[in-house]
Amino acid sequence: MTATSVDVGSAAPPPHPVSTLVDALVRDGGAFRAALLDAPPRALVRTLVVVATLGCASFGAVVGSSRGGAQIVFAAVKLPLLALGTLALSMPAFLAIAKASELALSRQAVVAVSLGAAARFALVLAGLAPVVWLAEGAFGYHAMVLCVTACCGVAGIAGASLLFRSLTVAGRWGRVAGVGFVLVFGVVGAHVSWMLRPFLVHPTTSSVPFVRPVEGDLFRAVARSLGSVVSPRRGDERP
Amino acid sequence: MTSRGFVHSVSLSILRLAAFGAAASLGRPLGSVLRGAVSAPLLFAGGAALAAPTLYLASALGGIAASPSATALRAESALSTVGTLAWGLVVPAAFFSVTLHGATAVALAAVVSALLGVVGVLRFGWDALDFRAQDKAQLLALAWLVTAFGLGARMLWVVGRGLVGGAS
Repeated sequence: MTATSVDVGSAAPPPHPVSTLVDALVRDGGAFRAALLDAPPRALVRTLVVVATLGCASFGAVVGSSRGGAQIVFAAVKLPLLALGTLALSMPAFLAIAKASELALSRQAVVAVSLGAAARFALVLAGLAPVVWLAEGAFGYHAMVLCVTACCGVAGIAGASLLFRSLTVAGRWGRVAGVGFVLVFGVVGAHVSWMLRPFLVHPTTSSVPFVRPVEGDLFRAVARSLGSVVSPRRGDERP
Repeated sequence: MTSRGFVHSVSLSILRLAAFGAAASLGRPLGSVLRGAVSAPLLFAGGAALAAPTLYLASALGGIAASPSATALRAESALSTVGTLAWGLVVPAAFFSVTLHGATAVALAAVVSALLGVVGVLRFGWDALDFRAQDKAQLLALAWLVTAFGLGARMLWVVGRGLVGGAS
């Protein structure tokens, strides 16, 4: 009996490359970071883009499900656009920061590390998607806005930790460069998310546009949502 | 570095800063774009030029061997770092200037300009002065730092309004 189970175990097929990549991303292993920094193969970069897209899309679909209908598809399309669009807009700044910080990194390595961080961000978001779905049944609209923001914060910390660990070994100013990367990505991402809103729609909204016209900015809207949670009477206003 | 290399590096930095200034004012009337393209190099290159004499003075009085030409090279290096960063920020700056308006846009432009200035000041003085010494050299280094930040703030107020105001 024991011998049979040992045989079955030894005959098990090796894990799929994507499964290995997901595991390496979540665990943030040193070998994986080394692979990102040392001439990353094109296939790895492609897979990171796919992982980032799928992870963000699944989280977006769950966020959109609070209203249902077309919003599920809209949010599933817009969240990957948000992550990868922000990365594309921020990449020239990342390359400049890496150069100004005198990091021993090629352009390809900077791109790969940034994509790795984005993919880890997306994986954590995908992992937190069921929590958001659970919260949808218990919380009101404005509390859900804060819940989704908190999930993005947790995923952001996970992505940033991979970034910092990778950059720290690349030079004495690696940590400073990491702060620069996070600042640029955070500010650009906040504004892109504002432009691509709505992601989370009030359940009573009758029709939902793919994007709303550009007006105001995220920073004022977050302040308003915080005010609504503290004093719910003002919560009818929609950002 | 040869004098030709020095001029080339400074010119490149000025061009990069001009591109950043123009990008930060895109989506505004042409006059604002031109004002931004002039203000950004003036702000950072002018700031480096104003901070250089006091840096030389502080290092000479602090007993650090640094000739005026070495100080000029440090200014060029700091300007090059700021120019590289500004060049990298051209795309985000253009994106924000086209899509973000009002007080938040002005605040963002001011904060980014101030951060670039802080990087430039630290890059300029960090290796030239001895911040870890326990004597007069440390006092002079700190005095220079305060002076440099003061000069930067004044430059931002006087010249940078062309850049920051372009976003309003």
